[in-house]
Amino acid sequence: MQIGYFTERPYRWVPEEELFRNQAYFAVSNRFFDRQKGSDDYNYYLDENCYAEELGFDAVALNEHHGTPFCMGGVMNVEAAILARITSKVRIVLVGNPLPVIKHPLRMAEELAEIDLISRGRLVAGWVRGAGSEQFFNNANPAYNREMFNEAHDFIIQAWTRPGPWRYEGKHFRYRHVNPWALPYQKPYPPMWIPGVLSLETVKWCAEHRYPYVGLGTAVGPTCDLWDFYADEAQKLGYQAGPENFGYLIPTFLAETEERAQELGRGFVYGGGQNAFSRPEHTLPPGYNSKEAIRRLAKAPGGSWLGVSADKLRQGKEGRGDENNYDEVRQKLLVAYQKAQQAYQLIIGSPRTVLPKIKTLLEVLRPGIFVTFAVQGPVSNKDRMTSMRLFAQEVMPALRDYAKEIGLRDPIERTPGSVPIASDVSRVPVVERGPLAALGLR
Amino acid sequence: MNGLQTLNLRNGRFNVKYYREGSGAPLVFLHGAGGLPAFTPDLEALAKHFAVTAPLHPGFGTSGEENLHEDVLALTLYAWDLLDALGIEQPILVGHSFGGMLAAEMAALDPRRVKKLILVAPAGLYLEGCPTADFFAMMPDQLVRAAFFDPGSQLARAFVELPEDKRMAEEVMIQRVRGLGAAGRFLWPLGDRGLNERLYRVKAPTLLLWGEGDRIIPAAYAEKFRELLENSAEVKIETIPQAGHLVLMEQMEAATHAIVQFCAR
Repeated sequence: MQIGYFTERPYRWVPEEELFRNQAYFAVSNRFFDRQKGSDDYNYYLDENCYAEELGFDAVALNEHHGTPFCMGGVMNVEAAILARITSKVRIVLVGNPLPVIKHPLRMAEELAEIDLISRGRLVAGWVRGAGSEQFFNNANPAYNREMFNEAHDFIIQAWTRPGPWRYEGKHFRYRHVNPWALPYQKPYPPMWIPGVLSLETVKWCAEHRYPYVGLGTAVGPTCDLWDFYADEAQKLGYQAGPENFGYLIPTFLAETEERAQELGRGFVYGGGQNAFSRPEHTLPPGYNSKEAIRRLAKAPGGSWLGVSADKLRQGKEGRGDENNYDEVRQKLLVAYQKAQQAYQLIIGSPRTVLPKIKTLLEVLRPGIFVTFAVQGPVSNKDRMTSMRLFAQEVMPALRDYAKEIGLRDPIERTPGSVPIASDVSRVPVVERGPLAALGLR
Repeated sequence: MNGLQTLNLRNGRFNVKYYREGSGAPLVFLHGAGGLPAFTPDLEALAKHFAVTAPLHPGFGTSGEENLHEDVLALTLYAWDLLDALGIEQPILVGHSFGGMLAAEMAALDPRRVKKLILVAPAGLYLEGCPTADFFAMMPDQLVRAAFFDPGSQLARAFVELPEDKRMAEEVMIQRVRGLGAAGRFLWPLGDRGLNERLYRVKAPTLLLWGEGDRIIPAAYAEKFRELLENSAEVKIETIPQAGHLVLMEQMEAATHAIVQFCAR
């Protein structure tokens, strides 16, 4: 199993009241950006990733969001390029570059090739469509999001594999001279892991391309459904999916004592947490989702990653309650904080309590890639690093043993899609739903 | 939908749905980004004076929006192809909002063919210091507050209310999002898609009809349109009080009366 470290690199200094007032992280005015603090933070987060390497994580994962203190990685390839040089062992995993938002796949092919070369082959490229708010920030037309995603991806693969120069005329992108001089260090190109939250289309696309699908803190029951869907699609394509096809990323925070962990772990709901990533009107711009996806959203209430939910879709109609009673908002967030822990959506505690919880996640979801997502909110560098150390020293070794024991092969050990299967036999289960009922999860 | 007719256009690339009612001079109504849920009372009023044809745009009930790739010219040619197929030669073109932008584009592309041009709070231009509201970033309640002069009116509430039946409500939600998504193919990039460079070609007498309290495309845009319509035989601005962006709905009588009067001259 590959064990990764991930942080959103939150800008931790916006007063919570401002986030409440704005009802979201996205669109908080950048007059709250303090250049000195920003400078300190960018440097600290790079150091933090080096510390992850030192502690024995296999990978560090970066992502990208725009116009938000939720995540400072506005241009993640910049950070990836620096890490390529200042680390020496960890895989640098991008989850991922928002292709339809960046709208320049040739430039992307060049940037990633440079990063892979500088790191001597440690890059894992990943692609995303970009959250709804990204479409606003970059004026990227959501109606063409998936088309642009597919075309940019296919183009980048070509740019890395087909000797140039050649001319390209696609629907959304055109290049008269494709001949990127620098090609990736890894042959034929870096592995790709694809993060996702809810879209069946993306899961199907991953199965077709034999890319590992990394669930971003998706609810446990629906994740099982999603991975069964992947495995069914894989079988249609002639291969047996296994742990190497799946990854799971989950908010995790540890402290020496249970009380301290519970206190600081509240950072995950600071300012509303993930559900306050963007306001409803910025979450799902018209055209971003397929008809089928809108139908699914309209049916299935409940929160999810980056606050995309049917409740949110309806929120506009039903009003937003008392927006100025922040104590009430905080109380509600505390309830949500407890609920999320019960649902295994937040893993918080001392090493003693965290280990069995993660083992359960591994048992049920059987991922070949497991990534911890560091706490958000105003938690000090020292406390963040303590959490990392406790995880690496007191949890990780046992997780590695357990992963080996239950056969969680990762995509480095076994190439995803390399185990053939006939269409008329029953496939091997990819998840273990047994423990769900006892945990009150479906 | 009641009274909808169907037409196959360009070898089935577009399955066009349209309303056709009334008699008299041909008037083509091009709806806005909210779609056209029925042959609405304002169209009924116009149908007392004109042969009204009101097509649903691709993505709003008409299929084939994927054939119109972000290109305003493709959309404009599609609209003229449709009128060719319907045998409408010299229409009075009435367009609201997104449909207003389309009507203006049509009149610029084929100026001799438009008898009169009526732009009701049209999209398509950008006025520095007075940006149009970004209705792609609005939830239904916000949209109603922006689109109606009186968001508390029964009309406004009916506009945002979902049907009781869950399935119907789901369909309505999907239609709304789909329709906005379809309009987004052309309007998402925001502001001006090049219309300012083409308006000089319009020859038809033009009525710019605005709700005084329009919070989506402020009435100040009327002057900008007038300035750029330098070769129109006539440009008249008419501002209707007690009306917002949905002026045809909110002040149906005054608005349709203005259209009928302008066409009678």
